[in-house]
Amino acid sequence: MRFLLTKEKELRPLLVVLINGVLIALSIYLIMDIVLHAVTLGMTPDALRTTLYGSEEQFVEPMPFGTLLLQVHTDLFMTLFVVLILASISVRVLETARAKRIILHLLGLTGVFTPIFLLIAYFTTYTVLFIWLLFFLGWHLLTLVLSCFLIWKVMR
Amino acid sequence: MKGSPKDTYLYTIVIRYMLLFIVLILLSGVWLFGITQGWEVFFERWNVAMFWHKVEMPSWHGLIEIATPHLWGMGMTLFVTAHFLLFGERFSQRKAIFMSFLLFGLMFMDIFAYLPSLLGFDAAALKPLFMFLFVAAFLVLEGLLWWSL
Repeated sequence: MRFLLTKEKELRPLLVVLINGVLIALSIYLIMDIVLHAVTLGMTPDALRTTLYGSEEQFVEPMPFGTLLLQVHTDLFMTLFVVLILASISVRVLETARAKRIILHLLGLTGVFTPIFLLIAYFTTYTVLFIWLLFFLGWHLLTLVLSCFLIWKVMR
Repeated sequence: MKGSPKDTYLYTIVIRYMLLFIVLILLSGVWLFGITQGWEVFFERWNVAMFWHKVEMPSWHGLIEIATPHLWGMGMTLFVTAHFLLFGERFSQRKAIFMSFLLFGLMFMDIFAYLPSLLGFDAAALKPLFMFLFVAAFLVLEGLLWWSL
């Protein structure tokens, strides 16, 4: 992360290529991560409810807690690195300190709370599950838009 | 493209979020171990003889399945976290080197703690022991990093 710290105002051509490469990979990862969660957990509220809590009418068992916790454990790790990469590039590339601070807190807070809401939803109600869905989609949208914006800023 | 390299103090916000994420990852990891082994491994039957035989052993396949992502994940997290000690001014480099050696050592011992048992030794309790030591040492590292920011 600290390799982005230089006293030069302009980014070197190699750093421009590296930043663009990692941001493109990250953008594709984020889209595929939504698809992966849709496949494993379901993405419509009804499908999510059936996966997590089971359904007596459809003879579906609830998801085992160990499987969900493993998902949360993995999500936290992946989110950590996405946040680290995007935040460090944002600090280097964005222009005003206020914008940077808002982006950092948005990235960090939504990133931390998304997996926590999934865990809480397992023990509580459908409403929390719906909040998780909003946070999940919100965080992915935020990171995707930020990645595209940073690519545009770096290429300019 | 113009950047703003002067706002480097903002990296402390990023590092603090990173430390928060790592605490959650450690907690969920210990929780996962607890629900697969049963919490009594940590909280009950501290009679050593009972404790020694309580941990369920994975197969060779299980060891590889667990060790492979953890070698990458724990190694990467430890490297990223510990490298910030290079920039701390309130923390001596000797202590940073000692902490890094200790943590990488404990990481390998934690990941391969099942190995002696799979080779036939009576050493099942090494896993919760090394896990506890690794988590404790990592939390100390996080505390030092938070303090040095």
